[in-house]
Amino acid sequence: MEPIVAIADLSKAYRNNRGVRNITLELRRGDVYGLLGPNGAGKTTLLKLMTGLIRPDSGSIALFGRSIGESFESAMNKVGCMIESADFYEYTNAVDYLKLVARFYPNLRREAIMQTLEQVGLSPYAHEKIKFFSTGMKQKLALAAAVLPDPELVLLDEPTNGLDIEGIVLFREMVRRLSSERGITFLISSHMIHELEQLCNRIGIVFGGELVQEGEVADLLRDGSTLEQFYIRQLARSKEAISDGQLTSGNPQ
Amino acid sequence: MASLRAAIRNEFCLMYYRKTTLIFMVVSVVVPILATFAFRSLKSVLGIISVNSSFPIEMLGVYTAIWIPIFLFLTIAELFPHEVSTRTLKLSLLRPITRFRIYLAKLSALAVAIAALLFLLLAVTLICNALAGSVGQSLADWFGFVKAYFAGFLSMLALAAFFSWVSQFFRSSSGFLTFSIVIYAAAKIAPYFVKGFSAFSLASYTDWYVLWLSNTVASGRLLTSSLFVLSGIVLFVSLGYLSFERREV
Repeated sequence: MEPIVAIADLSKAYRNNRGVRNITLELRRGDVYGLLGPNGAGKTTLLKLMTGLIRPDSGSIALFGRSIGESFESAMNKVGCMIESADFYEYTNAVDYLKLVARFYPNLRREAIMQTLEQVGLSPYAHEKIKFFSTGMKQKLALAAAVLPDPELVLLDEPTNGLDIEGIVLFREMVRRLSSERGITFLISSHMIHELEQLCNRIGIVFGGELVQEGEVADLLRDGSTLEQFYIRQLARSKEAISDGQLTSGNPQ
Repeated sequence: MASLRAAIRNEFCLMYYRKTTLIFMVVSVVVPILATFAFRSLKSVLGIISVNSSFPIEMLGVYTAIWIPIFLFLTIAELFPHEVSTRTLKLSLLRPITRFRIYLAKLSALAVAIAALLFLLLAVTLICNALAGSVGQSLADWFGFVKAYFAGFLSMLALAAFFSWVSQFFRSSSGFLTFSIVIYAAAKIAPYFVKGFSAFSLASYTDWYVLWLSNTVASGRLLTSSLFVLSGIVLFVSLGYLSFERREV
């Protein structure tokens, strides 16, 4: 079966020498893939490259078998994303903003907007200007915009930032439901390691711009350790590898 | 094409939500009306100034030299640098639409807004003419107005294409606004000091419609100036798109 996401030898270097190097990754249908790594490791860069916000120096990215560089529209047609921070046209309200999003998906049902707002718990604030929203509410709206077009692949960058406990639980349930009921594939970059442990079937650890470890969560944690313990061990190994010269330093913060 | 249509509709909606365009439309309607009343009141004092059959053309001169360029700078600042600084540009870049279509949608919305401003101005100045009791225009006058306003539209489009390209180098709207106002003012003043500058400056073509109204201008000169404005539009739309395509968000 063709992978939903196929990334091969992807590299991108910023002027400060940070970025990502030689990343190769495949996501299969129904995967909930967690991307872990310290600040500045290259997680957001990887997501930006996957969505064409920035261009790679080398390597290839294909979503649903279509190259992001050559067939952007068809590659992105079934993708919902939330990259970096939840930013909006603050002078619109939630419904008007989602209407702007919906126009790019002609087959979307009319009632989908209110249903999605209901799912993320924003229906009481549907007609309130976004500039009055809290960080958590904006995060929920960004999540609504990501899942509104009925995507088959959802890319989420720090989706639980600013969410209250209820919001986090709601987010977790939503990911589980969409993944199990509709087979939606998720790629979630987050620092909330316990969230990822509960949600993901596969994990990748990015360090210094490189994907230093990845695999099925069940396989990685076979020795009975938690994901946090595993992550800390991997991080220590990566730091050692850098000092031994086996890994190029990505200067993570 | 569906994605382009969606993007254009979205740009119109955003223009409506932002209110800048609406405010400009309202002021564009109010100014000629106020001018008509002011001229009528001052006629007894000043004698010469009055609303007459050339009122639509006189107002076009003021609008294409100052008012519409200001509208362009503000709107372009909102369409590009402001969206970069507030990180809202990615909201459309992350949708299934190419950057070419996004850029085209933004410029199309801007072009329609300029056309709407000019149409409103023509309609209001003609109504003011009628209200001021000016003699009814002949068919030739009407044809002249349409020609002049269309020429004015093309020159504003060329300015829009140029400043849209310039805006790609800015990440903040205030920086772009300051720079574009200074550049535009300098381009307007330069012909007084540099001989031949106006022939190569799009800013000197804001009163280009005068050529279209004149009966003494050679058709060859009209053709070369038209080609200059049209090639300016094509060149700066292309350059703007290239910069937009390469922009990392």
